[in-house]
Amino acid sequence: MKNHVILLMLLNFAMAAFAAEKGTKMLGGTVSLSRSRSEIITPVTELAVTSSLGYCVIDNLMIEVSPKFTLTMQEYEPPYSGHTSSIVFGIGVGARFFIGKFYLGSMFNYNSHGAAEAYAKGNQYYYKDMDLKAGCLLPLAKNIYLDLAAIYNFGVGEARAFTFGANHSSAYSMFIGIAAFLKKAPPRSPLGA
Amino acid sequence: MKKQVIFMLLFSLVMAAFAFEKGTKALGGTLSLSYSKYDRDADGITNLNVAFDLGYCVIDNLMVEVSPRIRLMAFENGPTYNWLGLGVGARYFIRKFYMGSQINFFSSGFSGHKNTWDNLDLKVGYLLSLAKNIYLDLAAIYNIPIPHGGSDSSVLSLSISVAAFFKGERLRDRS
Repeated sequence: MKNHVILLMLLNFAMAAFAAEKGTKMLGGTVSLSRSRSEIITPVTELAVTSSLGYCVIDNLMIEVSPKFTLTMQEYEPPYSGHTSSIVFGIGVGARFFIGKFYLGSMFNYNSHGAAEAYAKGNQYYYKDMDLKAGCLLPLAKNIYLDLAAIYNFGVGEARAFTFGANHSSAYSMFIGIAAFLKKAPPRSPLGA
Repeated sequence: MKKQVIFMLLFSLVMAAFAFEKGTKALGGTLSLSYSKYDRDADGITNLNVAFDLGYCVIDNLMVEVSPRIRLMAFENGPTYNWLGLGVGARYFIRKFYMGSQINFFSSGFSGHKNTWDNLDLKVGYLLSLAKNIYLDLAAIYNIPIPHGGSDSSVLSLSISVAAFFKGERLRDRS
């Protein structure tokens, strides 16, 4: 199974090797901390982080990381005190290769979820999958692009989540989003010109 | 009920009344359509997800905003779940600080059951410039139910996100 993953990761890098200049950064995501209450549910506190970060290590080859983390704590009903916690954790690592405004890329994703106690004992649910994607960037304004993509996602390895054993999940999706790409600023002249 | 909604919208506009020039646009969101299977033999699930945040400065520093939300989940040989939302509001900018509010209308349907609820966001925030057109948006948002709006929950949240603001200029190419 490991060979399978290594082969796919190598394919990422082979696919991903030129229009984005070296040093270009991609940025997206949210960090939020919230506390909600209602008449029928005890108060819930949630910390959620989802982000998508990319960096062009050479012209047109962008390495990407997409971490996500959600910690949810729900208070017990009185007269009990304390709370119950659950964690969702995911990380995606991949690359994109740009040919003009088009790109090809792939990303390996590890996803897990479960109660905090399950994580402590290593009993959390998990699954791994892979994204293969092709897309096009349409410029809207400086640094801002419309990102049109088609993505094929398929299960990799063993899963302990919606299914137990080999992960045969698959998904086709089409996606339109806004992407922010920041180019590396040119170095300032020591003369200040 | 109508008077309450009108009052709150007016309140939005009063709160949102001057550093962003007229014509500045704000843009964010996603549209995705997917078909997935948990296993080879499992029934497929079609998912449509639309979540956009669109803003336009009608006068200097006053941005009117619309946030449409659509979610459709159709199970093969099974029911369809739909969820619709629309947020309408405004933000008033004082340099890189802002305050604003948005009224949100929601409805959902599943197997013939329908539900509707409304709520209101009150928000204050700060925009930190990262590059031309791109800002880090630091915000505190208090989401409260509208009386008789079918919702009884309140949410206080702090958020950090990336926001895109740009004027009406056109770009030929990124390079």
